[in-house]
Amino acid sequence: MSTDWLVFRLGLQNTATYRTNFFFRALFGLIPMIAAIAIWQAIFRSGKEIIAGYTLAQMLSYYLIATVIEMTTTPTEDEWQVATDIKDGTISQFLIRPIDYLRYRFCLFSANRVIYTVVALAPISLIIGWKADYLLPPANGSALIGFACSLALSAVLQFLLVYLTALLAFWVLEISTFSFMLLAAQRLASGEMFPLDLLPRWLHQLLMLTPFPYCMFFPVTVYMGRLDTNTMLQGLGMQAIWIGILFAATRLVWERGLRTFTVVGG
Amino acid sequence: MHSSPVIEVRGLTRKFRIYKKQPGLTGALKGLFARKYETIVAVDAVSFTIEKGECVGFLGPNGAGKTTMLKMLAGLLHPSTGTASVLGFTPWERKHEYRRQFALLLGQKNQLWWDLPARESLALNGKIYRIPPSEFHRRVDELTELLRVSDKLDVMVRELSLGERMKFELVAALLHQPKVLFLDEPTIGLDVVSQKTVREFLRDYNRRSRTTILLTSHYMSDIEELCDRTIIIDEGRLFFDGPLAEIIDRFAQFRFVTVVLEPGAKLEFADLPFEVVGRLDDEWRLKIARPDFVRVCRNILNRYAVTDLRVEEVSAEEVMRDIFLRACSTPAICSDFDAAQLAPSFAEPSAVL
Repeated sequence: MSTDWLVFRLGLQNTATYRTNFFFRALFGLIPMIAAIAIWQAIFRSGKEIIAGYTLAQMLSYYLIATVIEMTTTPTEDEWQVATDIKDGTISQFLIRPIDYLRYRFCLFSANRVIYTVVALAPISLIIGWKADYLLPPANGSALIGFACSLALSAVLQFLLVYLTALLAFWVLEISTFSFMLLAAQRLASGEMFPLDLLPRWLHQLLMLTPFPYCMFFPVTVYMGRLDTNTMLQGLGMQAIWIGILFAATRLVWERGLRTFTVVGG
Repeated sequence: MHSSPVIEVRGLTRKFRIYKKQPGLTGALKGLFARKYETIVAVDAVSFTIEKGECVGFLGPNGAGKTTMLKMLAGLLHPSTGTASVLGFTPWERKHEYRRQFALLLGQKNQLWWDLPARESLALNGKIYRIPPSEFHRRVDELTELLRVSDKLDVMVRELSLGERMKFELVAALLHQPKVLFLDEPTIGLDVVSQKTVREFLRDYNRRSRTTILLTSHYMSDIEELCDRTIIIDEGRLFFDGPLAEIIDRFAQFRFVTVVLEPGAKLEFADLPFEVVGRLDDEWRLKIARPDFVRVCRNILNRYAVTDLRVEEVSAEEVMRDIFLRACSTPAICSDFDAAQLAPSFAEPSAVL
């Protein structure tokens, strides 16, 4: 059994202690989605069959899939845990041991997501059951495989974004402002609030150059089969590129942060 | 042939720049634009060498630079100037090879998983240091046995007492059999029994495994019982390096003598320099400066029918208090304190390497 696997298992046990928190967070996290579904139903009731290339079923599926993606891949506790480790000096424990902190955190993140998914399953099934008629299956086999890949890459991508933000704790006392900024950007630009192809084409295209749509919008559209194979592969490529860039950035920032920590004094 | 020392520190200096906020709201506003910084020298040109198997205690008041010193040796802080070598490594390069060979225990920090039994944290350490499973179990059994916590392995860490937690911290730190062990306040906040267990454990461990130990403590008895050698740091400077007994010898200025006289006798010597610090019937407790000690005692014995006499050395604790008080009697003087001014009394040959 490797260190990674043990950290993951310990993460499962540790996180399970907070399952009640997770349950309520999952439950109340559904409110915005319920609101979005209600709004779109009202809009479609006005008579239009298709809006921006989405039927009502497709539109509601979009939100349901987005919720599943959020549940399985969006970091929740990780950001403040990393920031706290840095602020209170717990990070020292990792600097004196032959272990890589990023890797350790990623194992814990995976464990967090597993527990969160298990706990959130009940409330989310409830919602999905409520709108079961509107949940479309994956468009086809390749869409399903593509979705699985993009989901995994999205998890890594989101983890790196959050980890990078948390590393700011090396310099600022309170990172919550920055996490809030990231969260706001992500909400809008990832397609969590609405499908990005509702936006003017130029803005949509511009956003596709940022990492955010690859966290949510891209996997959903893959699932729904809205992309041809080429575009899908390109998107997966973009996810990989952004992961590469962010990984390099975390390494750089980590080195910088450690210098601050050890040279300036933590 | 003489093997090279395990720890070699030369002219190690660490400065911190701290932000000084001026008082009040205006101060806070001013601070937004022009910050005033003050440079603090936490460790000031300290040099020493430590050989394999030594157990060395760092003593000094709060803020003397002990923890900063340990952190530099563990590679958690870069020095401003100076060099250090531990097991042949430069600590702050933080090579994995070095990390495998030492341990640092910060008594005020918790490294165990709070919401899990200690057993799990130990298992993680076992993995991190790649200890073979059979060997791992043997060491856990042995260490928890010695520290008398083997029955607590499956208790959630948050439910352990402070003493039990510290003992598990020690187990976790020792699992990979480090060659050098840095302990920062390993007995802080522990009750007397736990303190004793930890102390005895460390002493035996040091003797058996020949592990080099460097520890800081506020409890003089930790140092007295564990360390053959004490390094006193104050205001970042090293001003003593040697056995604790020697410090007492050098810096204790008094001895206490208790004499029991015949009933009704009154001890009066206008011509002799001593001070009566306590009296219980015919038992007199006297404080005598060490240069006068023999003369005063002889005179008392000559002139009185003394039925009993006891001599006490000033405790190490009192000597330390004395030294630190002289070194910085008030915070204001403290920051301007220059050890060189105290040179006549504190000049210490072994401090100059």
